[in-house]
Amino acid sequence: MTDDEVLAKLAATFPKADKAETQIKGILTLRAASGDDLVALARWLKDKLGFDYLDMITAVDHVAERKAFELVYCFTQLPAGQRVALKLETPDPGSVPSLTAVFPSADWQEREVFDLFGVRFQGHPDLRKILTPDFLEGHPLRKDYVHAKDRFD
Amino acid sequence: MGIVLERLPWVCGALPGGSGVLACADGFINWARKRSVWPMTFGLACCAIEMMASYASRFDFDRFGVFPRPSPRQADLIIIAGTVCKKMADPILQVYHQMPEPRFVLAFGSCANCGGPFHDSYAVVKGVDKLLPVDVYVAGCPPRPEALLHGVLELQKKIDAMRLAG
Amino acid sequence: MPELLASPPLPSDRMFINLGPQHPSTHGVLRVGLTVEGEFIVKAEPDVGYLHRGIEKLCESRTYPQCVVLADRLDYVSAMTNELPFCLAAETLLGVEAPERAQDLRVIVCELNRIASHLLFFGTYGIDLGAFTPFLHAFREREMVLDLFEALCGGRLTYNYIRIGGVMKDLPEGWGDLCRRFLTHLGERLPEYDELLSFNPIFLDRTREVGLLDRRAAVSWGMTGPNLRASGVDYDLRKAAPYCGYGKVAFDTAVGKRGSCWDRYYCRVREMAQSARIVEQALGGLAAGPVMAKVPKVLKPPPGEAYAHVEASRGELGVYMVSDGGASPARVHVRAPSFLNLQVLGELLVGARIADVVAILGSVDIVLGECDR
Repeated sequence: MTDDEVLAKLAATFPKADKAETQIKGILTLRAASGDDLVALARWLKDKLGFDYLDMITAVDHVAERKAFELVYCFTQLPAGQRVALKLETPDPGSVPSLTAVFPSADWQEREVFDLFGVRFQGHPDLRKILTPDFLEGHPLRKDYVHAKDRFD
Repeated sequence: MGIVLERLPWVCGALPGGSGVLACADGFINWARKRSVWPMTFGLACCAIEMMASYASRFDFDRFGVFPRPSPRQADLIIIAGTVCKKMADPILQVYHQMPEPRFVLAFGSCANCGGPFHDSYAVVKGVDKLLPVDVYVAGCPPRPEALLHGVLELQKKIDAMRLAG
Repeated sequence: MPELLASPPLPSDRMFINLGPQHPSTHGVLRVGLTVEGEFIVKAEPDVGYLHRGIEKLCESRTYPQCVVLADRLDYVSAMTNELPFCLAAETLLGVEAPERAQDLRVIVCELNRIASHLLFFGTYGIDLGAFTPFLHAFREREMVLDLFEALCGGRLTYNYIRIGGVMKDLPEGWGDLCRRFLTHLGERLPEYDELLSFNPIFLDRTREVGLLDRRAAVSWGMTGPNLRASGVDYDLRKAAPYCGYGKVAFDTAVGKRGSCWDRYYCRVREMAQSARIVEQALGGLAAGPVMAKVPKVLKPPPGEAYAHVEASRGELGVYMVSDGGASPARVHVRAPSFLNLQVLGELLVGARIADVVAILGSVDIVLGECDR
């Protein structure tokens, strides 16, 4: 399926979503208009277009420029290997629907984004820290994170 | 056995020729201890792989009497091989306190020595000597297995300098 | 007498045991909280983060070439395959392409690293299940690979060999022959490994019916690499979207049928033979020319985003890099295969016996450096 075909089908089913402004080089990057569309879009990509493998979920801190986090999702079509990326902006502080109902492998990746950035995921079965120690307060990968000295420093 | 060793210097001090007995005892005990240093398998990160390589056939730690033990209760030495992260600091302390004395600590690799390439990270302890008293530091990232063998030989020299009389 | 026979049943509460973070079989600092009822696991909660070094944040305060040094220490067992996606992502952002000879050399070192990594897996999986001898055999071969790497770039475990724009230096004289001799030696040893471990009746009993993961579950849980292929999904990035010099070499993908621990194990053993085949072909078809493209001394890629993938030893390793025009990346995210592969444990361990926990965990083949970053 070519990029244009994907975009055409997207325009027909989700008119508010479109191509993202900054494309990831080499991968067709879509933009979801809001969190409400996210789960439906992911399900549509999985069931109708065959992107049944969740590759990655991460976030980029754009709080300084736009007061928002940009969530980046990437899906793969197995076994052909074609990829499509999806971006969603969420204001800071913000919350976004969880994709765990559609892709169980979103579980830990969403926990990681929560741990490192503070973005909450509604509907996640167990949203808590996964990588940083319990006594570490704050979300380290935020650009405005200031490390408070703990007992090991 | 511990009570005998504790009382021995006092008894020998009172007897004529006692210091000779102490010196012999020291020599024998230190010889036994340094020839059978049993480390605990405590690999944390990349250095653990070089530690495993030194247990394998090419570098063969066993010829020095070094034999890895999985339980801290049976080990003399803890080789901190890898980055000490803050989340792991409390388990390290717990495991160290489970080791019976005399126990030794060998900091293996840059991360265990001083934090290594991750020294400016929010999640890394800058060297295991912030938590434990280190006897030998082995530098490298990762150090070669020969460096680990050298570190254990240095530890053997340190054990030689131990005295019952304190 | 009858009173004894009529005594009340023994108390059987559920017990909570920690497997790790210090444990000889957890392949690093992993803690799995197991709730057991007798011999059977009722609930398993993997707890990671004991090796979280904050590499993604550190990359934001390092220059691009310095990030490659940090990348080495992610999956420390196969460091070359970690450097590659970093360099590919940075090259995509810069708009440069490594010369053909550098691409071929990248294939050679990545495949040799895959052999070394799978040898380590083979040895440690044997130890986990109580077989000590395969470990010594595996490390004997692994030392030969590390000798080759040491002759090439000076490092045994962490290399900093694959650089942005190419590779550090060309092959020294005679390296090709040494490598071919190693490949011949490995070819003779692999049937020995099958005899030692793969078809050993005790090993088969412990792994063949354990940890079954069907195709649908493997895909939905995000499994990757040999774990995915063992469940019957024929997906190998080196074939689906060839990168570097993989388009020029021919090899088979090892695909399992049932997704058991044994399938995952044997996929890796078969991959060793295929990697040897790839290295042989790549050495024969090595292009002539420079090994480094012209890149500026201070790398400042124009603003943009790139996402590069490679088929690493543990699965698909991806590096998502965002540049804002400065000398350091604005954001680096490492899509770690071990992090994704571990998630399935919460489901896969339920119903297994305590003795099977180590077999299942070992067969997933994780490295905590990559998982925790």
